[in-house]
Amino acid sequence: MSSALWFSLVGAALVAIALYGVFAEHHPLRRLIALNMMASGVFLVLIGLARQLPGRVPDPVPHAMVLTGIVVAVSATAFALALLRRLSRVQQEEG
Amino acid sequence: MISPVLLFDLLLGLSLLWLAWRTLAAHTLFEACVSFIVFGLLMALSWVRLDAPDVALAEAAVGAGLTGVLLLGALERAERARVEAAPGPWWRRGAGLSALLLFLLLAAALITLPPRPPLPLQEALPLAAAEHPVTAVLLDFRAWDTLLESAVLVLAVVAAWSLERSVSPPRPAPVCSEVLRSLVRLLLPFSILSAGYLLWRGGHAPGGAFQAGTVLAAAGILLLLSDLRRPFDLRRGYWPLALLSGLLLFIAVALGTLGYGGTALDYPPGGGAALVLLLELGLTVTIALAFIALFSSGRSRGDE
Repeated sequence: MSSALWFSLVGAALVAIALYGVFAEHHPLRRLIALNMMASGVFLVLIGLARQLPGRVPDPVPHAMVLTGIVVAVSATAFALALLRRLSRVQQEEG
Repeated sequence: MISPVLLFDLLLGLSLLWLAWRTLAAHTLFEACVSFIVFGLLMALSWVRLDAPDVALAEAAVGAGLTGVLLLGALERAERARVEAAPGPWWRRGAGLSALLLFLLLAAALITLPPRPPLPLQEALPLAAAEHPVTAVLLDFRAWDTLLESAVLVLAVVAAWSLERSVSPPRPAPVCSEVLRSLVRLLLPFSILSAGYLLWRGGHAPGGAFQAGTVLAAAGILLLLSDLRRPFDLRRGYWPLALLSGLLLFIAVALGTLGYGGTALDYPPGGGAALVLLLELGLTVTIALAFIALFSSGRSRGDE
């Protein structure tokens, strides 16, 4: 087994573990962490596939997609945290 | 006999899975956050092993650094939040089963994937506006994606701002130790220098706007954490314009190339490298300021 395939499989397992986390956790922050982990799993699958090309050079397109994905994922996380803050503030005001 | 390199990869993959499980099964939220930060660092190592140094640089700064800071910043409030009741055992079993099914399907797809032919992209690379393949894809072949990505960043900042209770200056940093202050004093010039280097390097080697922007953002966040400088409000003065600079530059270049050659973001011959560097400069400023804004929005006084 090549290490590219191994990392792709690890990525697939991460997606599955994180999916379980999203469904089975009940605290919103834990769900958010699980979602981030799922994103990491997807990135790992993509970069693993990029490495499985013939020749020495990996495919740059998935690399660019993952770079964009990392930045978008952290923006989405920050937005979700802002929503969480708002939620807990509303809960606090309701008493 | 397996080679030491493959053994290392096997161990790295297994530690990733173990840390993922530890993160989800952690007893406290703090434990979960810290496990996730360590997970991010090991991810960065995996990117290096997969010959993706660009992604490794971004992951080390964003995945492990910034996400961790954001999560830890949200911790105090999140611990007090009221949560819905824990799901029942049947719900958990169902979730476990569907996760297992998903893994089996994905694994089967990955193992049976037919080998791909060499990319047509390789032939187009010498024509690109940047020597480094990843930069060429980001800012030449798929420049539209990057334009829209900077729009997503700006949108996230606007959304986070609009969710705040009122326009209020960021809370002054808690009294920090002299160690952090001297460390920031020492690190700040080097951070700015390495951000500039990463930006310049992006044209021909791993590096570029994403990495430079995150390094700059890390420097800004450290500056906010140490109370060396009076906290600044990114919603006032010229800051919003600076935050938008990457997006505005991108739109200007798109319109300019549309008028010049008829196709948006199709650079004129000979001018590509300069335009790409200009776009990367704007993108660096936007990424850095957006991350600083997202961080300081989490600690504003209106939250109390």
